[in-house]
Amino acid sequence: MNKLFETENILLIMRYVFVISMTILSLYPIFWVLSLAFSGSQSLSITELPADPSSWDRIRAIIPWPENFSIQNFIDVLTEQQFGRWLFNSAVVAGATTVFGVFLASTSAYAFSRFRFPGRGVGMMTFLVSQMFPGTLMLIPLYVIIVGWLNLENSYIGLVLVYSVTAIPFCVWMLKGYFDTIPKEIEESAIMDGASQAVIFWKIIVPLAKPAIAVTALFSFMAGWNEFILASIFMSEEQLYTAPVGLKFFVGEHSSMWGYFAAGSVIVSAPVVFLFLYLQKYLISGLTSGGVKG
Amino acid sequence: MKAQVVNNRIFSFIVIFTLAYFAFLHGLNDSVSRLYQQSEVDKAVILSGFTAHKMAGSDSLSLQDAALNLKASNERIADIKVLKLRGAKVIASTQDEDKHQSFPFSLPKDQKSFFDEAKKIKSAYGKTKGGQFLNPLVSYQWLDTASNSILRVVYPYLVNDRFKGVLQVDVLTEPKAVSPYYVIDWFILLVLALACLVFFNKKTLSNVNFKYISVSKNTLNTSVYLFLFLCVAVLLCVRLVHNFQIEQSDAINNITELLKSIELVLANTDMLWINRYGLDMQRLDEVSQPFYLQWMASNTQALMAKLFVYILLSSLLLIFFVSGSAAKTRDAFRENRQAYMYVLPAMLGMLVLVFFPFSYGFILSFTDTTMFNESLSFSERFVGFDNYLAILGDFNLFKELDGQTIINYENFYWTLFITICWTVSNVVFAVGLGLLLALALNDSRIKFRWFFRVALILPWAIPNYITALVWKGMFHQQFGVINQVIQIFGFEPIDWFGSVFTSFLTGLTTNVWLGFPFMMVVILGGLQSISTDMYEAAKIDGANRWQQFKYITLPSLKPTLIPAVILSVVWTFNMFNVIYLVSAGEPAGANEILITQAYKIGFEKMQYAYAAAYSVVIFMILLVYGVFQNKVSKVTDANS
Repeated sequence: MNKLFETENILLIMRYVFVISMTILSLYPIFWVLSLAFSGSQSLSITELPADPSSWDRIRAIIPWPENFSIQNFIDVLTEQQFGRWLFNSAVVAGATTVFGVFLASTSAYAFSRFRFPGRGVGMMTFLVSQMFPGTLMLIPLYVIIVGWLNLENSYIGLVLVYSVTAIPFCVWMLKGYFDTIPKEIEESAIMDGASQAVIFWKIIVPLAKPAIAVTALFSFMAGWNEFILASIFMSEEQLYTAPVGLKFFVGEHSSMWGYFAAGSVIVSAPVVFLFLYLQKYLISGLTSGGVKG
Repeated sequence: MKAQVVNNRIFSFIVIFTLAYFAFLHGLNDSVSRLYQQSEVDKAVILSGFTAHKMAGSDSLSLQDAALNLKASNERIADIKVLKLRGAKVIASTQDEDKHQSFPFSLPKDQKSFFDEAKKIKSAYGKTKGGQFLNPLVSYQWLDTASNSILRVVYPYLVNDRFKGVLQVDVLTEPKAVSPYYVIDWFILLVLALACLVFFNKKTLSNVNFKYISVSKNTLNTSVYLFLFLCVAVLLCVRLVHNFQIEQSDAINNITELLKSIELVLANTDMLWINRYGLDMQRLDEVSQPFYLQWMASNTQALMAKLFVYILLSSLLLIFFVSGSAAKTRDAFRENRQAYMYVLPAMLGMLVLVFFPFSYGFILSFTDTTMFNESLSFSERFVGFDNYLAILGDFNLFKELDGQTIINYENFYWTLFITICWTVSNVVFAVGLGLLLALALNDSRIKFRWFFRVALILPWAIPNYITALVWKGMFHQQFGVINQVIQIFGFEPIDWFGSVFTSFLTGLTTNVWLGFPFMMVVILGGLQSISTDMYEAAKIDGANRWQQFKYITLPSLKPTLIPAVILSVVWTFNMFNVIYLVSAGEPAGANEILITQAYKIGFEKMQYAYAAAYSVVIFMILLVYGVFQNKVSKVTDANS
């Protein structure tokens, strides 16, 4: 009895209480979306409240468990709405962004990490500064370039180009930090064996940097998968909306189809959440090991 | 070696010169063809106006014959088509495809654009002010066929001054012949290049002794090349301008001839019809040729300005090349070819899609561009620092509304204040929560740590726009979960987006929910790298828990925490999605942060330039913060 009230134990209990309550808070919105998604209705509330609700009714209304369990929202959103098509668009755009973005970022990060050349410092600095460019400043010029000059309105290519290029600075800084940790001796011995620079890069550096490249890929993928402002500007045809634009469309100014929104959100979030959880430990090391140090 | 260097410079000189000259030629060609096209349009409009006048005179039975006659009598008229607006009936047409139709017949569906055009002209015909038509009654468009280009002019078709329909005349225009001047100029250029090569070949150069003037050799070379270049450039410019004037007078003669030929007709008919069709009388009047002269003068001026810019740019390039900077750059490139090849793709992309848009936006911020004056030339839109003055110089934080003094939420300083509150409160809460959670989770006695870790990271993993929309739903006044909880405790539901403070809270809650996992994970990583020996040593020295935290944990966390805080300040400062999607700046724009305000100005009020200036101010604030932060962290690094 006495032991239970020792400082150590009280602290431990306080920690438990704190951690558990925070966990509930962080999970609640997720369960809320899930319960809307599986409710089979378009309503924003979990249950229909009677005219004069009792406390119990109200408590029931905040428990994130649907009244009637149904997967109708998922079926409808994929068949009646064009959401399937939008998902496909997003997948194409995000996939291409990943491939292209990783290529661009890894080659230049390698140069910044391994070579000393005039303009290196300036290049790294401008990459960093470009992170501070406000998006609102870039929207109109980007529209002029992509739609006016390159004539890429309603085309996947326009979005892929913009997404992969705007993700470059962050990816380069992260990859460079990782490349710096790969010992130079490996390359030197490869040069002794007569390997060319290209062979060294593709056959030695890239395989060694797999974790960092995986994180860069995740980052590029999320950049393409989650963006909605540029996508809504460049893609004016409903057929070519990306999933984020479509989701916003469900609960936008003129409609409130919360059931569709919730079901769509679950579908859109699932892949990124799993990828994220799978790759998170690399993400942390990437972020902390010089990735963000000026 | 020396000869090689000099030879390289001569080569680059020729290259630049060719490029610059090509630019001159292009500018000239552009201006001349624009003038030529304008004169062709004028001719065609006059001709078809004349046709319309003739047609209006004939009665409806002989209309088709009149059209055929007119087509046969003038070789420049390709086709005539008359559309009666009521019922959309074609009442006369000389087009091949309508040959077998009996008139009148209904306009085919695929020519609906013709009908739309007719309606537009009718509405223009209805609007007059003081006897003048407000909008031109004539519309024209170029039709490009394989062999020749045709101008399609659409005119009102009036019978007894009443609007019946429209008349469409396809006028053949003469394609512009390639001027022989260009060929001659190219020839001169070629000769010049060859002469350079012959005069400055390797052998001649090796005989030149630079020994005694080696100090000023570079300067000498530079000045000699520059002088040569400027001489030739000025000579050629004079020639070009002269040629341009010849071309222009040709174009004017061209139109004067036509005017003369129809002068007779005009003398015999009522001139008023032309006025009625909205044509500029001045253009028709041979006496008032000043219109063209004026046109020419403004064009010549523009051309001269262009030439000046070209000369300036190419001189700069020349200096860059002959002074040796180019050689240095090239040597650097040769030495580090591989490095540059690796950087090239990313740099190219960044230049086109990041740095160019930035510069474009920056320049835009010195204009007064809105959606309505986009087509004006840059010099007409240029306003200098007006936008910046309007943003930064507006200190009217309060305004009068219905006799009450209220805060002017659109004022820049109010928005800046909100943005700073937003950034500071977000970072403080996120770091605080993250630190507490990390410290709690670092306790190895807690069971299921992996579960808590994963559960607490989830908010970071979910796309933030979804999170924002979800919280917006949860804050709904009537159906939102949060108001249900409040009602359980017997309180009235809150209109979250109705007042400044509660609306601010909605954004804050959402963003802290989004942001604390990142901080927690970063801090957890930092905590795990602290060796337990330090704590044990501290315990032996009798340090209590707080002292351990203050003297061991916090200092060890600094290297990981500071970059994370810097990053999250920048992210939060520009966190567009949360504000835009959750509160949308409600009520009345009071909770807008700078970035959402800039978006609102640019894309809801369509004041592009003002939004650009706003964005530049945001960038400057972040840049100053970045530089300041960099200095501070350097100082603290040096101290530790």
